[in-house]
Amino acid sequence: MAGQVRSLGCTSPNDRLDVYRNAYFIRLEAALAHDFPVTEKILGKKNFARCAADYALANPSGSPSLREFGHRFANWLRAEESPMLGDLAAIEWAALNVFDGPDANAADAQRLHAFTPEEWPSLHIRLMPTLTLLTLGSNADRVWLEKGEGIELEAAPVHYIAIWRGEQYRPMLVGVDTDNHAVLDIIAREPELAVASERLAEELDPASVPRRIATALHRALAHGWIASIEIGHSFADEPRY
Amino acid sequence: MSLAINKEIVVAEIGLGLRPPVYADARSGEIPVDWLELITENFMVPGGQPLAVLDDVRSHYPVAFHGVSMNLGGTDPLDENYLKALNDLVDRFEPLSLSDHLCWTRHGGHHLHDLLPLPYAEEVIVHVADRIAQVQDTLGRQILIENLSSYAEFDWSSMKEWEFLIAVAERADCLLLLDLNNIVVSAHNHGFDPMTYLNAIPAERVAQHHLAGHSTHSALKIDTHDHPVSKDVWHLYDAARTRYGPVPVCIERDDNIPPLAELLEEVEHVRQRAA
Repeated sequence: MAGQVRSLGCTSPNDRLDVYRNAYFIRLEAALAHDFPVTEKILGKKNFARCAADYALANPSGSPSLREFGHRFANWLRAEESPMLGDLAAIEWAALNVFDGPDANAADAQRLHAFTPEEWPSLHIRLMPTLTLLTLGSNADRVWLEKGEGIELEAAPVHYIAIWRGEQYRPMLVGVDTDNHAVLDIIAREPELAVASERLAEELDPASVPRRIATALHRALAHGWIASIEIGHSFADEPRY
Repeated sequence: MSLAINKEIVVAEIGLGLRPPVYADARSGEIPVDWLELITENFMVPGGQPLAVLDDVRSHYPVAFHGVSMNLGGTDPLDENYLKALNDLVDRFEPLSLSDHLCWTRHGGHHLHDLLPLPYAEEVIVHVADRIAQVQDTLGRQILIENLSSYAEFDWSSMKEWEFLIAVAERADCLLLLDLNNIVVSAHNHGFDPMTYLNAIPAERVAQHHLAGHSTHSALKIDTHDHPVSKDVWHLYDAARTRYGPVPVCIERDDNIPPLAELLEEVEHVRQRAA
């Protein structure tokens, strides 16, 4: 490309193109550092810059907004650096979605009382669009809560967390037990309760599934994680993001 | 398409870039400016705080939408999803004006997040102007295109930057956002006289100005928006006022953003010149 650039004064075509070349990586690294500040703190600026450059080379931006540039960063860190860093970046990405994800009102905490037991199989449940459920194999949740100050990122037994939108668009994080995670994880993919129940019965004691679902839904409603519960509702016409 | 400029924008003389450090003041309507300019892509989100901020801001101020990713000069097809999202944002917030840059920003599906210069040639005029016209047809309104700061020029350019800019604007029947800092930066980097540029641009096309700061690295000036407006740019602004009359002007600061009071000193400079 330098051969197509006009020479003028003491600045060579290559030096002129370097302005663009350098700005490209600086801008993308800055976008990642903005979106993953705790990951940057744990990695250190130098290592983070190296990761950002490698990530940028492997994942050219496909969106007009820099906001989307980091959408594969957690998976990339998990594969290329360490699963623990992937955990941490996944939490930060979920927190970012809390900040500017779709708006929705939480269903009333008593909403389930509106339905008879016979109606439950035909219920359709839509989780809040900014709720993210994650499975961690590290203490990344503690590291994130402490903003990376005074705590090492290290391996931990597998556990589950939920991140969702609190007051003033603040991200909230709480641990989720195995049963509740299993139920909500299925419902996130299968909003029709009858189908979700069948899937759960394939993995858990079928006799226990109704109780587990009831417990998980009551807890989710109390946290404000459910946007709607309707009978036979189709979500096909609702906006997707 | 007519050349009429939205009358509200003619009245709205002085604007300031809406950036996170001034969100709180903007939400409460406490910034003494006539309008605020936002980077469109920062608000192309499904919901959450950015749009809540903009709802509040819009209750106090008119806003101008300034985009950086429309890719008017590129060879990838125009992004229909982008234009749809922009149209939705326009419907919701009814901006005074829509602007983007005379450049390319994407190639082969990859966004470069930079404003890259075009070759100044006849066939490129046709290409870019037709894309601008397509955008204007889609959005149902005239847009403003902004001149770039650039650090490299193509060897096969057959005309001056301002000749290219004028030809594109006339063929597309669009308006111009003349960034005076960008003229100063490019004049230094490519060895032309900023006044030659200014004097060539027809006044009836100029709908808005940007004023900003730049930095110098080695022999090149770089459009960093991280310094106060430079003396050279103020001088060019004085000349622009003489040539074009009162044109809405926006102070841009994107990095190393000082306290609001400091930004308002630059706003006051504009007011004093307008008095």
